[in-house]
Amino acid sequence: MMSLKILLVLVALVSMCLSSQVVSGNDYHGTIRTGYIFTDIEGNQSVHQPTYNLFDGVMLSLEHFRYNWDNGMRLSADIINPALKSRRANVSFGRLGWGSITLHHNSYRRTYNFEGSSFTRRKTTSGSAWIQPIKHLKLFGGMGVTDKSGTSRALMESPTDPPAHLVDYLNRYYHAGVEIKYQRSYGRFEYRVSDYIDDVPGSDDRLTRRLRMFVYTPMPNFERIVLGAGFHRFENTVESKQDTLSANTVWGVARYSDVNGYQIRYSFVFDRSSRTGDLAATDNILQTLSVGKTWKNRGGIIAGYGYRINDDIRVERSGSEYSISTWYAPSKQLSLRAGIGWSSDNVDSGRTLTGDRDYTRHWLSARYRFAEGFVRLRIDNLYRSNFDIGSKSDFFRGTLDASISSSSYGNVVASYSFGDGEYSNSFGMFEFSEHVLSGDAFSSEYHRIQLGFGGSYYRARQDVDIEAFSIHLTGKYRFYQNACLEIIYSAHNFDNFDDLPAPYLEYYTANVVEVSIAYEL
Amino acid sequence: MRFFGSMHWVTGGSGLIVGLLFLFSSVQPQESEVDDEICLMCHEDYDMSLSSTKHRLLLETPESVVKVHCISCHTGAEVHIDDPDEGNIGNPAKAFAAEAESVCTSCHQPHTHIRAVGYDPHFREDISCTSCHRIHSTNAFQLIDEEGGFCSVCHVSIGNEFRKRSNHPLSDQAVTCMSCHDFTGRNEANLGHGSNANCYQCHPEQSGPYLYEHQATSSFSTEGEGCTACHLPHGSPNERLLARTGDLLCLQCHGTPPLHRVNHDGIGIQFLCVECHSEVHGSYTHRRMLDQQLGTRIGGEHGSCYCHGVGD
Repeated sequence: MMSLKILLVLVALVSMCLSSQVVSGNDYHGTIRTGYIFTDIEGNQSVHQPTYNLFDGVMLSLEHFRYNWDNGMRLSADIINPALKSRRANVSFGRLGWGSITLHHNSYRRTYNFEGSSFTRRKTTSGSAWIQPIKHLKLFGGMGVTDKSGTSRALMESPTDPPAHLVDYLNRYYHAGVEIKYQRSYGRFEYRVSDYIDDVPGSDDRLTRRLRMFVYTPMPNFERIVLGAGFHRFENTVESKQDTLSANTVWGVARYSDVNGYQIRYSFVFDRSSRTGDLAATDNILQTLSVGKTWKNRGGIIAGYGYRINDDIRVERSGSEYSISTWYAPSKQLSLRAGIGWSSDNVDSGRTLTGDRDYTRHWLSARYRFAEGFVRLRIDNLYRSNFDIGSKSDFFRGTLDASISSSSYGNVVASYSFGDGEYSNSFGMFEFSEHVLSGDAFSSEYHRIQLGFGGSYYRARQDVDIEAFSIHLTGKYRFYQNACLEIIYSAHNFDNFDDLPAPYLEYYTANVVEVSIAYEL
Repeated sequence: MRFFGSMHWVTGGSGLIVGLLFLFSSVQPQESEVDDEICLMCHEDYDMSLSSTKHRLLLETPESVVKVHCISCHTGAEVHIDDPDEGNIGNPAKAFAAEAESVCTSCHQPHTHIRAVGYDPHFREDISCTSCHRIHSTNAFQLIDEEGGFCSVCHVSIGNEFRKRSNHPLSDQAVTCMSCHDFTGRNEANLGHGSNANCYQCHPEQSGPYLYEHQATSSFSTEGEGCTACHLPHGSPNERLLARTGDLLCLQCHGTPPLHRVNHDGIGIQFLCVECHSEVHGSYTHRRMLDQQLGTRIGGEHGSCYCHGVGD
């Protein structure tokens, strides 16, 4: 039924476009695509996420459709495969300075067992709109619904057991608000409600409400100083248990910046969260101060300090955070960036399971640009330590990527990431190292033909032993001025080399062929 | 049927707003100090790159309520006309962040809020509006990359996280980067309305509040860090975005009670923590977060298991 509705919208849009093309001044572009997706799948369908939402069947899409009327009205639409269960659509219509409407639909499947018979499907449909009745005022609102149903499995539940976990809920959400702006001052008020209805016996419905308002303005006579403040209230209620989690947050900020590149910023956040089922409330207080200087097109540095208090009467934590980040461009081709941040979080009174915590993060990146593209290297390191329980994690990641573009030959992008992680605690250690290689190449058109190749390769070793790859080959033949035949062959593969018992075997292979004709409007 | 019922509200409400949309429009265009035609004499066809965008020049749509001229963004035109040196004209795409921001936010004020609140790290490093938006482009929202993959143009290492065993469905476009990274500071971490509330928008079934909370899942409590204490939101080598496999995840914080593990290992099955303590997000029925159907799942009667009778 939903497919039919979206299909009708698609037909209406194309008809409108074709029938009004003679009107002077209107312009439009987009692509209509039709064809078929063939799939051949073997193995455990719950292990390779990129193919969870893969279906075979008729393709019919309107891609990147934009219609501009001479009077400033605009319509944009992306309607992808409404005849398939992996459909998605975004349609937007509006007029600049007057208002706009956006509609969205998406359907997503997630599978949980070997043969794919246990799955959940999430269908999301939403609409939002805004109007601007007068210059300084904008009203906005919207509503949507997410419907999720099916059967899932608990973690490590045997795939040979019948599906044990029913999923069947509906989540409706609404929002409305107003924006006010006058010169360089701005204010916003919005209210959001989410009504969650769970139809699984024994489950609970929930109502979530969120109120948010803020305002900021340059200080009169000191335009370089911007002041801002806001309030946020969040409430989440399980109606059958009469239990509510609520949070009230107040924040404020003052920022000074000038044309010479100096900036100073101070902010505070005060948050009190409480539950009706718990007598104690938790206070979160955060203050930050940062100072920076930027040298135009040459470099910059910024240093920040933050102090945090986390207090629920029984336990009080406090912590300091420090950060320094800098960038430097010695030439137009080369730019360097680096940063370090560390924080220490201590239990001042009371006792917690995880105790004191330390975090450190540092990163470094360098990019070299040349006429046809760039090469970039980035290194990240994250470290966390909980001394009291002997727990720590140490994660390193390095990425090298490059992009080369040539109007004569085509485009190539490629990247390689290496990650190494180590989590240890009093019981044992979990280690992994990962390699991700990905890339895409697409040729320029030559004798009406374009060819492309791309894919990704993932390998995890040590305590997990996994290999996954996806490749795709694309061929495009332009047989008419605005029309082309496109064939895409994709192969997906997943293997877990751990010695798993039969019901948990994790291998997967899929071959997918998409044959389509695309017509450019 | 409920689903389609809700659809009627969506379409009906939208229809009402369409009607209202055309009732309001009153702002009149203003005269430019330097005519766009003068700019286009040298910068031929530059108006074409704007014609299908919100920045369509006023000369093309004199009735437009938004008054966009070349000089709206490019300041210093009077000097540039006399001496057409590139350095004599303002260009947000080549200015440093504070200058570019001041030009763009004269109309697009919500973006000023991003920096004022300060949760967006882009501005720290001289990355401005024009780093992501190419104004003379016909892409949606003038983004560098219309497919929404423009974030991974810079954040390549994060993009590669989504190629791991489990990940959020970015490639299916069921979510985008901005589904979670809101940019407006709405969901600052470690507050009651913080990162967890962000997750609960799509995962309301896990949102609690529970009578018996698992404090690790709480983003604001003195013990917890939120959903990301256990899940890696971009991608993970393990199932369900989990940071570690099996018991190692639980043992990151929980020491094993004496004899507890040994006795269960003794059965020879080596039960995982989550096989009994399955209500990992919180429970309404048991402070140890035990499975409500523990007995029937691993042997014995409902409410009990092999070794422990009902109520033990």
